[in-house]
Amino acid sequence: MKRLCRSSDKHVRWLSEDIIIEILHCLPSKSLARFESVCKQWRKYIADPSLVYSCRSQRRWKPPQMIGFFCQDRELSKCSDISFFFSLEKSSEVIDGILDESVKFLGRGVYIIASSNGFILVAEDLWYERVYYVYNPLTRQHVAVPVTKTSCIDRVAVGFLCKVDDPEKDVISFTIVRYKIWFGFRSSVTISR
Amino acid sequence: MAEASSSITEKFFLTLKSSDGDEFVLEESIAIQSITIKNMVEDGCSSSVIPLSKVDTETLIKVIEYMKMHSSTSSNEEEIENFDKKFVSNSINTILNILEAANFLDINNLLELCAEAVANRIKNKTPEAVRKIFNITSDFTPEEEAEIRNETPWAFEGNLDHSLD
Repeated sequence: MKRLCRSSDKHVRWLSEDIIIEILHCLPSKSLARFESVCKQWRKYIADPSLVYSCRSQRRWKPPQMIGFFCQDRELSKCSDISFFFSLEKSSEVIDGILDESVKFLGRGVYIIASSNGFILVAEDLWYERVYYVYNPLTRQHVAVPVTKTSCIDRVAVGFLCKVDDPEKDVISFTIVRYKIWFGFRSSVTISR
Repeated sequence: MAEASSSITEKFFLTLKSSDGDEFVLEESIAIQSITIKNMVEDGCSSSVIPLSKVDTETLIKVIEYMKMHSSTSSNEEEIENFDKKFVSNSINTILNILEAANFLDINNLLELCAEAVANRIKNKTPEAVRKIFNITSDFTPEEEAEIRNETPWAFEGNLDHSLD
């Protein structure tokens, strides 16, 4: 058992590695991200994919919980009025009730197209092309999807699928499929991060 | 007749000795919730006093309280739930001491209860507060720390708790 922390006062506290990891297992990811800056040992434990993995399994593989949902007016002129609704009373604990502010990113003429596995596919119509972003509402990060030749503004149907390929390495891939409605034209982009 | 009834209700007792030298007599059926103690009993090392050199008196009293509540057949689920709720409202330092004892004594549900309680108490805290609670000195340079924080600015949003309990 590795000794981790040493106290200088008379109640000497030796917290074993096991105990620290046991506590980290019970923390939500937002806290884990914040506690990476506590010390090098903690950062190592938190960065260890097996912690994240066992962290999830410790929670006994609960089915994904719906935290809430976005709602957007059909009319594009009102697309800045995107609302977020919490679906459960408890969910405000999970994300500290600040998620609704995160839709500000979407306010600038960006509108929602589809969602998958907690990620949202949004698009922004520029005068010459349509730009797609994959947006993670929990971390408020977004990635622009590489522009393809067929990103021009056409009438297209879009499919969006997000899957976790390798939980150990945190590899998430997005598959976006666009169908031009009258030609049945298809282009697909898969990006991983 | 009297002999028969006494053998039915016969209870074995163990004596646990804290690091401060205080002795506590406890029914064996209650004490063996601790796998460490159970193994000692099975190995026949429990005829005399069981020394618990890593557990001080204050902590041992709490652990015994917990084991009594969680083994007693008279306590119902609601009672246990209320007891647990009150139990984790102890100071974070006390809970950390109990957590260490639960780890050493190998009492799994007490370990889980305390780990969860500590996590709940620290989840909104700043890294600085966590360092003080766990007696950790940061080994990052200020530049390294700033860089790490910049990786996840969203983790520092909202009302963070600076208190140490």
